[in-house]
Amino acid sequence: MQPDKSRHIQIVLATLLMGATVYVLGNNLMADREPPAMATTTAREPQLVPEPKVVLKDAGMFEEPVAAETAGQADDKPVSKRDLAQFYSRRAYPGAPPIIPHELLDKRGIGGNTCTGCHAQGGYVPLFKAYAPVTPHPQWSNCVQCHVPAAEKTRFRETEFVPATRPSLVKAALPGGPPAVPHSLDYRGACQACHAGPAAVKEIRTPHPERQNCRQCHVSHDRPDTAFERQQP
Amino acid sequence: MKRRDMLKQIATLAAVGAAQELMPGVVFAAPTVDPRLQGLDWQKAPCRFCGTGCGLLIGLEKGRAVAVKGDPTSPVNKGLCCVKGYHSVMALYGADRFKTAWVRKDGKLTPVPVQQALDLVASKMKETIAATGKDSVAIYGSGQWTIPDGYVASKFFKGCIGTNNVEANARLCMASAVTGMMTTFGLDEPMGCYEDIDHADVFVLWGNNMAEMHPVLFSRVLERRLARPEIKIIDLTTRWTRTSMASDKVMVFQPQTDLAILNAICYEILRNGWADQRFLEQHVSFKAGKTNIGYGTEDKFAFTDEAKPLTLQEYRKKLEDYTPEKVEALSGVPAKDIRYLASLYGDPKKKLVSFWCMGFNQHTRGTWVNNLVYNAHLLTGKISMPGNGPFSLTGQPSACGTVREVGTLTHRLPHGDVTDPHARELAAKIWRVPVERIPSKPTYHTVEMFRALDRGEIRFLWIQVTNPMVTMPKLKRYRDATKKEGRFIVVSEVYPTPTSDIADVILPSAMWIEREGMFGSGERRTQHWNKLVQPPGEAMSDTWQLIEVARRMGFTKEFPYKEETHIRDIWEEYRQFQHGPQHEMAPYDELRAKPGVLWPFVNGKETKWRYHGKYDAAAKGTGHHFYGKPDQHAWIWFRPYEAPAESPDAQYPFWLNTGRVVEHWHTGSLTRRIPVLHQAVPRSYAELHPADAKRLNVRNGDRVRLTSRRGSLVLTAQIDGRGRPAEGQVFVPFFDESILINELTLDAFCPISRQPDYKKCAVKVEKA
Ligand code: SF4
Repeated sequence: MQPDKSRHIQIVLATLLMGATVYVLGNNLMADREPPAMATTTAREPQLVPEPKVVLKDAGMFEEPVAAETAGQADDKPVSKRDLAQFYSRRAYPGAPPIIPHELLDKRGIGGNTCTGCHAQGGYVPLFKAYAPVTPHPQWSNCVQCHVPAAEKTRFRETEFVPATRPSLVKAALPGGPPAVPHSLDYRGACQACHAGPAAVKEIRTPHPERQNCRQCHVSHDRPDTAFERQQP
Repeated sequence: MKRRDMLKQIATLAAVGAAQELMPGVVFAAPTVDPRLQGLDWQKAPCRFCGTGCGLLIGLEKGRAVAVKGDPTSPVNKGLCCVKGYHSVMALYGADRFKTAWVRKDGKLTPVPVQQALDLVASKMKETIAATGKDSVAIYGSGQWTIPDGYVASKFFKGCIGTNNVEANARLCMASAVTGMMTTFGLDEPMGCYEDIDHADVFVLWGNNMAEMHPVLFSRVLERRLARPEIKIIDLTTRWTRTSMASDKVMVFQPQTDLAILNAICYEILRNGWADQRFLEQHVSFKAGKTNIGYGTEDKFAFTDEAKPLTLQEYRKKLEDYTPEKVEALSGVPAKDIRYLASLYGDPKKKLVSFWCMGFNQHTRGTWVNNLVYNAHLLTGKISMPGNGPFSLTGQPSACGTVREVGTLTHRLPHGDVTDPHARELAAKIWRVPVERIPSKPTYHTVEMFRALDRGEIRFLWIQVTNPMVTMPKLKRYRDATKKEGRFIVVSEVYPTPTSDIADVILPSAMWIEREGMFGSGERRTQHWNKLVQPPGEAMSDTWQLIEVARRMGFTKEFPYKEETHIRDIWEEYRQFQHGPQHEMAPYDELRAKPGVLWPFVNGKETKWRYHGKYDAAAKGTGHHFYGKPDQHAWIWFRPYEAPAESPDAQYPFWLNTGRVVEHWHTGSLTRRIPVLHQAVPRSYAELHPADAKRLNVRNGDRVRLTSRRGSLVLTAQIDGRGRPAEGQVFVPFFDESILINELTLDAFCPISRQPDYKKCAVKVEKA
């Protein structure tokens, strides 16, 4: 496997830039960032890129409390109150690709021209009165390959599936040590995407977004512990 | 948390850390690793759904499959999956799994212990053979059979009972790809591999909605284009899809006219002098076959093709009917677009991959259209090299591994055709059965097998891992056949389906990671997985069900395997069939250790590109060598345009096209039991073009009635959803067992491959 280095560098740079914005400007200013207009992405069949005229039904997006949380917040844009319970309610098991909690803006597209308009960089989306969660893998553009909306909440048949136990938030090996990363890092290695910024889930938001080299202190702990064995020469 | 508190906390934590460093002898606290941090036990398995064959890692906890991630070490998907793969383990846990056998008594299905049901199956089989002969029992399997399932079925039916009544649903999805390759190259399966994606400059997709059907491969294509915007994706299609939206150029053609467009491309290649003359002289022969070859809609239809040699000049002459202008009139694709496409094939500096799947294969001229795409690659010599080649994508996870390689079709053996005495001798030797027992004549292909059931020639049918009561075209005839007096149907299944509804015996199957097995994917990759979880109740693998029944019929010597090691034993036995540099399969231990191995696996090395001395141990010399045909050439066939079996007319003015959506796998018996997937697409619908909808006064969500000469169905109209058919066409996904679109389809098939055409028949559309 030969991942494209330049793209990875781009992603890292984008992530760093975002983190730096958080650090320099603080959350309040960050809230002023609007998602880029959809037209900035390459439209290959211009007449077919749909207008974002959306009639939003259901889907849990509005379950989200949108009242301003922090005292002293100057503008009227709410701070996201996404929490872990909601985070998990959109995943079949911890680590599953989340469902899309709103209607697709473009049913016929693959998402590269629409979803990424908000989810590549995040920011406040007036249309949804919410902060867009940021994708940790902007290199993939066929979004609807993995993320699907729920047209309805019915069941075809009942299921007895039991999802994996949720990773613990109690985490450090020693008291006071940096918590380990309790999930796989494949396609989720851009930590800032989920752990920093106004759309980050409260419980897993980093208290130190100014620190950028996450894995200097937080190591992945995704596999079962096996004893170290010295290879015989 | 306030910022000040946060900083305070950080300071405290830092102090603790520092204290630990300063006083190394002091134990502050036992390391308190939360058990939930230990992580899951991740084990590899190939995805159970499409033919892409993604490598998965299955997360196990307390004996259950609880999570999935893509296997980053798999060269197929490099850690990425699609929504089906990510949720695949949930398919094991539908609440209505069959955990015991069911037997029909006085018309009603009643639960019985599995051993008792197996006794009944064996005695019924013996009885039927005694009464109406060995050719009155049949097995109908699947491209989702594991390799051991298919191998044991073939050995049992062909080698032990002595009937060629073995077919698999891959006949409905891959048969034209097989006959296309056999007629052109003399050997089956693609020359290239998915790594071609990493080298190509142009991707031409022929009737192939790759964004939904092979999403992980399409993502690899998109990833490559993102890095190099000069890379082009060209979509040849009858329906505007998500793939079209992501393509650089979309050419919408009238159904069936792909035959003509491909001939026009070849015409242009020759006219412009883009053909590789040296390649043609050294590696290619020209042939013409029979024309006006029929559609197989009548019982006992028979057809044998004949290859008449042609010269290049004669071939060129025949192509004169396919000038871009003439083909524009027929296909609706502008002549300048056809010329542009031809120039991409013709440009020696551009590496080009053609991808196709059901659009070509489910086609009454499926073999021909496969031949024609090979022609374009052979004329230009763009074949069997990294980034250059025709690539037939596969629908099912083991259509290649189990059906094409093991040969679970009426005319095949694990190596060679039943008509070939050497192939029969080899099989008899490895199976240790008398050679006379293996019959030399093929019996029924799938459609004809169900017709024979209807006519009463077949009396006993065992169906495994497939759902023909949803997927057979012209469904009513074949459903009625199963219900006729004196028919006995055994169904090995995991969930209730329309097929288990017509069963006389239901055997509960252990599926996928509930047993050990192997699949062979569309790039000649064999993938092994271990049994990872216990099957529910008495559920038993299809392999073991077959072995149990075979032994009950007296074939204990032929099936000596021990339960603990039977998959290894079966694999190593099967591997003997494929010895030699053209087919060599990897040893069992190799398969266990790796995320799949490409065959031919020669001297510890995979073969990524066949028919080229640089990459393929079977090829002589350092360049191309097409060793599959007796003349050591690849054959360019002249194949004309011929009309489809049924076209729209005044009474039935619309084309009906059927297919899949990314969320659902085939008939949905698994994916509909996965809540995420069901909720995304809860039921089937009819896609209409907005102009047609307006004319019919139908709005999105209205009910419409579709009627063909065979049946009628009411369903919901969808306008400008994920697909937009051309005007005068409707598209209906086939996954929904309560909206059986195959009541309307036609059982016309390609006379050479005998694969039905699910993409074209005539219907009427009315507001309901
Ligand atoms: S369904 Fe196909 S593309 Fe999706 S994960 Fe499975 S093998 Fe890969």
